Amino acid sequence: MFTEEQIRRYSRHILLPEVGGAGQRRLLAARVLLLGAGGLGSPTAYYLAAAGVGTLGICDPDVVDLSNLQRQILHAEADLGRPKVDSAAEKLRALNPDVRVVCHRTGIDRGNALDLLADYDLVVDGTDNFATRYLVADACHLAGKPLVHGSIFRFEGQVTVFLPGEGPCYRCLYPEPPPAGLVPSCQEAGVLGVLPGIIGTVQAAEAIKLLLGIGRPLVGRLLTYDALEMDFHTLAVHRDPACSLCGDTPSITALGEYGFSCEVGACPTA
Amino acid sequence: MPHRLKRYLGMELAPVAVRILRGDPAPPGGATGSPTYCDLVLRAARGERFVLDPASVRRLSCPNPELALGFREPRFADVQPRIEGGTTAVVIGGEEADVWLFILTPAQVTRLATLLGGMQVSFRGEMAVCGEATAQVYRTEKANLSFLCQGCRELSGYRDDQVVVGLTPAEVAAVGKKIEEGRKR
Amino acid sequence: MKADRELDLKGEICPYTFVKSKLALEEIAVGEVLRVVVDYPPAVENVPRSMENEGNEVLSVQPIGPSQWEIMVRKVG
Ligand SMILES: [Zn+2]
Repeated sequence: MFTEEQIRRYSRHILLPEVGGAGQRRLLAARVLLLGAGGLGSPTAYYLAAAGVGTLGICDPDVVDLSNLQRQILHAEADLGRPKVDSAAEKLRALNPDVRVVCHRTGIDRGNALDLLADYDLVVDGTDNFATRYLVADACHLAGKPLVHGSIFRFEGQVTVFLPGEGPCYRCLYPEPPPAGLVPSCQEAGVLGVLPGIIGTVQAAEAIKLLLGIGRPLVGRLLTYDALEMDFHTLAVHRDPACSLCGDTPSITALGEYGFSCEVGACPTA
Repeated sequence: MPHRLKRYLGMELAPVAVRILRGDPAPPGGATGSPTYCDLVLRAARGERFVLDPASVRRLSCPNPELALGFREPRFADVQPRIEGGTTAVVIGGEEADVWLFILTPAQVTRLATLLGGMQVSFRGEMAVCGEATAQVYRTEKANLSFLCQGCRELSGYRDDQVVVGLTPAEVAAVGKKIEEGRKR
Repeated sequence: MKADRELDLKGEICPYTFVKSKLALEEIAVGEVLRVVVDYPPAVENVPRSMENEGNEVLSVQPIGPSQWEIMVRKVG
């Protein structure tokens, strides 16, 4: 049963035949893990909290830095030096008290990944380095959790959805990590501040569609966005039967070492 | 004529022509999706044109216009204001009008009321843009003012300082003439 | 006729008359009957219409007092 406040808060969802009261209840019962409370995680967390996703886990080891505020809209000047998970939790609770925010003030690594995922129905990746993305993709595949992938670079971003057992995985898309040193780290690359806003919001939309079971998720499709051209494209991506993770005879059956990129220090969130 | 009034009042949005077809076949291109009538009026004020036929009016996310605009008769309780059943289509936007809808601020209504030589208005905040501003003006052939309804305020894109006035084409012509005369003096 | 669920919408206006009756119908089983009481005249027409547009069966609509109506709807599918 909804409370009077919930009926008013979620009335615009309830009015949609595709959502209705049943869909809103699914959202309230859903548990989503957000990896990173940075540029991508900020809009995703805001919209998932506003939509009434009942449990939002936020995983981020960092504290808020002045250089984050150009794009990480969960945080404000008063939060400088605070753990990002605390700053995020405060904003999200203020937005919607229906949401239980669970703070994981840690990075995700091979030691904790499967434990972290265990309590959630769906994962949204807002991390910004290749090492973590491979780890997250492998862990979600092994744990059978849907993963909404997003990444940004300068003026360009991309989003896709990996559903274990359906469509390709991250390693079908990028079989080999790029050689260390070839990819500029986040500290060197620069990014248009609004870009994670667009990409993170698309990730939130995909997450909500998956939780509701409506529409056509970006499974087997890679959405790419170019802010300079203001152009969205979708490319078909196919499962590779020889894939080392999801192929017919996978060689990856447990989490391995992921120390191959992001040379200049750790940069866990976009 | 309505555009002269738009300039004179300094309106932000264009006046919206609403054509009510009774018995004539509906033009092609029924509105798609499930907007509200109030949404369509607002979008028409920004230059679009929509056709409501019996199928598209049933898809609207508000069921009031179907009744207010005369696509069907009430079954359980008489609800006013409304046009008698027999409407076959309603065209929102374009140049041909049975009723002109003006989206105005209260200050603009003040100036319009003076030009009209006064307005006797009746509203109750329900069935507002479809009933009070469209159906009632169509039926009585007299201008009316609507402060919109709660659903429209919540679901459509109207600002709190926007209200809707419906005028007959004859009133629009008369007011336009007055503006013209005033300019000559 | 006996209702399986009662919904008092007195004092409610659009769009909540619709939102709340839609929610109440979702919460009963197919074939069960919902009794809705409204005192907002447009709701007497538009609640039944919305229910029908969503595929349900309106069994009756009757005045039950000064400016009060009872709407009986059976949930279909
Ligand atoms: Zn694969």
